[in-house]
Amino acid sequence: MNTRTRAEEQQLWHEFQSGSQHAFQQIHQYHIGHLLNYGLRLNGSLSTVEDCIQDVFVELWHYRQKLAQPASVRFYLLRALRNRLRAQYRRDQPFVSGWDDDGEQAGQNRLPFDTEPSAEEQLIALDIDADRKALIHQALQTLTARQREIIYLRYFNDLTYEQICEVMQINYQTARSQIYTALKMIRKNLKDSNISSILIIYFLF
Amino acid sequence: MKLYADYAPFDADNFLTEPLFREWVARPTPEIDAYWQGLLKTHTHLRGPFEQARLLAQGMLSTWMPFSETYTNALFLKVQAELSADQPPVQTTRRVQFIPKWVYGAAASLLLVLGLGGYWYFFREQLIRTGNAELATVTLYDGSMVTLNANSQLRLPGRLDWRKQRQVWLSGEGSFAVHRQPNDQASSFRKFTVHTHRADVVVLGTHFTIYTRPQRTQVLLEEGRIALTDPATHKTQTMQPGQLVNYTVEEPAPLVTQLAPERQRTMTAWRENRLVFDYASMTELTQRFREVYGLELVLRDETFAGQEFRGELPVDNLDKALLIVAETFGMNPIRQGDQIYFVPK
Repeated sequence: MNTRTRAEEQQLWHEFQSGSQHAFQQIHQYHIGHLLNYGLRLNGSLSTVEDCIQDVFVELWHYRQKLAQPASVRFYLLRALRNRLRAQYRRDQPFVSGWDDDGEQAGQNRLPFDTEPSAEEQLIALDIDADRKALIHQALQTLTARQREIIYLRYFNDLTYEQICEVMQINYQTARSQIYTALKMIRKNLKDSNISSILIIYFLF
Repeated sequence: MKLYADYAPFDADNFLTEPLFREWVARPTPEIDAYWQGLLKTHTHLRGPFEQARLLAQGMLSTWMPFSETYTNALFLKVQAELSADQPPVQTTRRVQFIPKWVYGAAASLLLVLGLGGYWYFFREQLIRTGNAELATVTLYDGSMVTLNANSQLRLPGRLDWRKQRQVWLSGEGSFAVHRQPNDQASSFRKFTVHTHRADVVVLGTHFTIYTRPQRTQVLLEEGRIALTDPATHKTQTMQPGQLVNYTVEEPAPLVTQLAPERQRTMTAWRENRLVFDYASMTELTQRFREVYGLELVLRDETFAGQEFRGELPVDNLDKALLIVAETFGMNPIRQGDQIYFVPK
């Protein structure tokens, strides 16, 4: 996923800090898809997400000289976006709790972290057929929104568990146990559906 | 690549963050399939974690939303617009300079040349045609290859349109080797569409052969996966390797059959300059002759009644092809205009 080396990223960051529009555009181009995808999973309205991302980048440019080189630019941007979206959510619905206070056990995490089914062509590219698609959908549905979010951050953005905790404002232990339960549920799910053995056999021979 | 033993302590989370694993889920290839199959055969305890990780990774990838470069560029422009609105206006100074008249003339003609050249380069459509007994191989802008059989034509959009959408129009017979081309997003590919009068073939990267002449349209998929769309009804169906989809004038719905590899050869061998007939009826033989060589075989003699023809003819050598047919039936060919008569020896 990460096609850029650390050295290249640092070089780009330096150019950006010294005011290069070109470097700024490259940073924008490189992260925008991930920010949009992340934002849309947190907030279904594209225009809200667009606005928040715009604010994140405008702020990034204004404060560029004061910013220390972040360990990972992606991490910095994701965290900034999530904070903005949360603030936005609070503004829109001041009396509804949820989002990120640990209210998940009550099953009322307001943060949907939901996803649209993808286009047919994309499934073809990934070699996913209808049965497989149903199984994937079922697996994702058994996870909680927070578990999906952790896996998303881990899979697409290469964040460490420490970074994930900071983005989502949860503690390390919670993150680890969330993943652990998530995997346990999927394992159970695979066993129950009994498709696992069929799939593995199909895949093996 | 790692040694299999290195994977022994892996759990699902390790697989999810393993670069080779990610790359493979996003872009599966037969070689890496085999590599993982080997691992799971030798280390059976990894099957569970592996399958969980694959399920999650596919779940993540299949819900990824790609955004076009046009769209993200527009977003960047908005950022820039907001930034420049914040800044104080820059003072501009006017300078007046004398520029000789001929400079304007030269600049104008340079512009014209550039404009024409640019038009030629960016907008011009191309039409590639093959005549009787003629094959052609075309390399498209993205490196995909198309081989055209005789009496076929392929229409290519200009470069700019191509950049928007990879699509071509085919009539006749063409065999495609399409390159996968990544989108600006890491996990998706640009689709490639072949329009024919009966079906739109949508692919991402694969090998297939299309036959689309007036009476009949056939699509044979040799490798990969493709989706067919009926331009009239917009119905879409996906094809598996080895499948042949057959549209005819009489039947409203296409017929799907699985072709054994040796049967596929009759549809694809023309690429190697061979026209293959496998117990073809006389109607089929004359039709194929008309399509490829542009000649009408007149098979009125009783010798031909109820006969079947089996053999291979060179696409690019009409005389030799005629000779082979004539020899098979023990006759002599006589050519009159576009018609070929046969007389007993």
